[in-house]
Amino acid sequence: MFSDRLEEELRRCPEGTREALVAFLENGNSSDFETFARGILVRNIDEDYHEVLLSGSDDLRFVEDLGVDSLSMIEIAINFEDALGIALIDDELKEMRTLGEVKEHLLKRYKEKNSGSGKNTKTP
Amino acid sequence: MKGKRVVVTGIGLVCPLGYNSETIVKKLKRQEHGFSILPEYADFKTSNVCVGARIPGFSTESRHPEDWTNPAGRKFRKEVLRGLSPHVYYALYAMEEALCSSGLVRETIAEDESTGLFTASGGSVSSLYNNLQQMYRDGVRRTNPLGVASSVTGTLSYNLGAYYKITGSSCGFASACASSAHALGFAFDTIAMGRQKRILVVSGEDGDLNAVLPFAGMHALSTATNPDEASLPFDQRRKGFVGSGGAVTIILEEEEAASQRGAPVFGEILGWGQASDGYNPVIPHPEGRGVLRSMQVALASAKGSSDDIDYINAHATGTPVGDVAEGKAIAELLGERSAVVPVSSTKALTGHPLSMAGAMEVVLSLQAARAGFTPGTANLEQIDPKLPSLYLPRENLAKAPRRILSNSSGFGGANVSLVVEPHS
Repeated sequence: MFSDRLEEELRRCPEGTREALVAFLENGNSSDFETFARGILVRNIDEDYHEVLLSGSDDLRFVEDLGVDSLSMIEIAINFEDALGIALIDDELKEMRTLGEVKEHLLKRYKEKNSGSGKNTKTP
Repeated sequence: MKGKRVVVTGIGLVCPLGYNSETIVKKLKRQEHGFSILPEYADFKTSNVCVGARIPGFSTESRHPEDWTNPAGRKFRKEVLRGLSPHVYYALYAMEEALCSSGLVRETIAEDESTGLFTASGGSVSSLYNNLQQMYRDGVRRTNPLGVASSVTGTLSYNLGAYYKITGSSCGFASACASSAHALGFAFDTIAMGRQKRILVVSGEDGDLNAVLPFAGMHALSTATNPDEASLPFDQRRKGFVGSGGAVTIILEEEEAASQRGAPVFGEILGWGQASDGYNPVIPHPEGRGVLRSMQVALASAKGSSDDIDYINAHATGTPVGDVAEGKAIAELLGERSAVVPVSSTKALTGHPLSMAGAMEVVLSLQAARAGFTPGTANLEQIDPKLPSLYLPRENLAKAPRRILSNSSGFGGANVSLVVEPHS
């Protein structure tokens, strides 16, 4: 179903991340998206920040609150691109500063892709 | 102007013989090698090489550094791990060993402008290969963001410099198998000139299939099928070297500064020299022209002569041409003393770890001397008749050398010689 690379990444995410992604791609349920998105982030941020991430709100800032630098952000973006079949440009990464912004933007882009209005889209 | 004295105040070594000084010295003393038959070598298409060296205590086979393990069970943050290649992972261990042996901690050297970092490695062929494979498969935008920094020559400096917060001098050396000897030499100069008080000299090599097996293309690797007779420096049965890897850290310090902080002193660097063959990109000059000159320059730098030397740790990797060329140079340097100055190659036990050979052999020579013996060349049973007359003991000698000359030679005919003296 997914590329070898994404499967490898999902294997290294918390349990339930892959299932949540499959469910989201099938039914578009936002709670599944939430589980999947947090799983990808847990995979890519340092262990010290896991508790903050899992208990924190959508206002959490990537750089200041979760210790994510620009290179980690690229790795996170690749995971989301592979999973959702979208392609993000650098300016979009700069605009996604909080957890809430990331979720909102990714969902928007995913919906655009499915409605056929998105740019730079691809099938996962 | 008289330069400042430079002493060795810390040592850390990860090599096929082990990952702590006690084990390594024990194996050196018992002449136990670190080789075995490696299935991945033996099974490789058209391979005639099957003996290699693993790094004990570590697992770095996975493409994902987060899966790697080390003997201390040390864990690293994701931001550290993602930029590592195997030899940098080994180097982090060797660095901790060296700091510990020196009575230093990370916080002492962090953001200390008087502490520098000189590194030597050939980079990581495996990381480069994996990252390029990913780029070709998944495209440029899906390449590992740390793909370049984790693999090219210099990756040791990038990663260790950031991890240890080095704010003094930092630079890398790329003279192939003479690289870490060059790093030591220039670190010596930098401290002797008063530009830094302390320099961490670090070298590492992956020593895995991708780093070693390509040397089979130039017929430079041992094709022995018995690990006990695979690395045969100076022996007429030799057919090439056994590739190896690991990491080494030597902490050099200005003597007064070391004394002020009560640092342990493992030895002293008395001088060094370098000279080039100017002959061939990979084949050494047949008469050892460059290495003879590098030894002469080193002895002059140490304000001494060959009369002062009582052990030579040769570069001798076990290749047919290299060992003879170096042997001729040593015989010319020693003259009549060729019959009495022991010459050996510890690569009979460690294999050849490419860029880290020079620094590793300074450590082995100092540690052997401190343990009261002079290393012989294990397995040396049939001395090559093409060699000039030299004193090439097979067994270790129960006498510690007082002044040691250590040679390293690399591609391009780069030669470095270091003069070191052990302290007990």
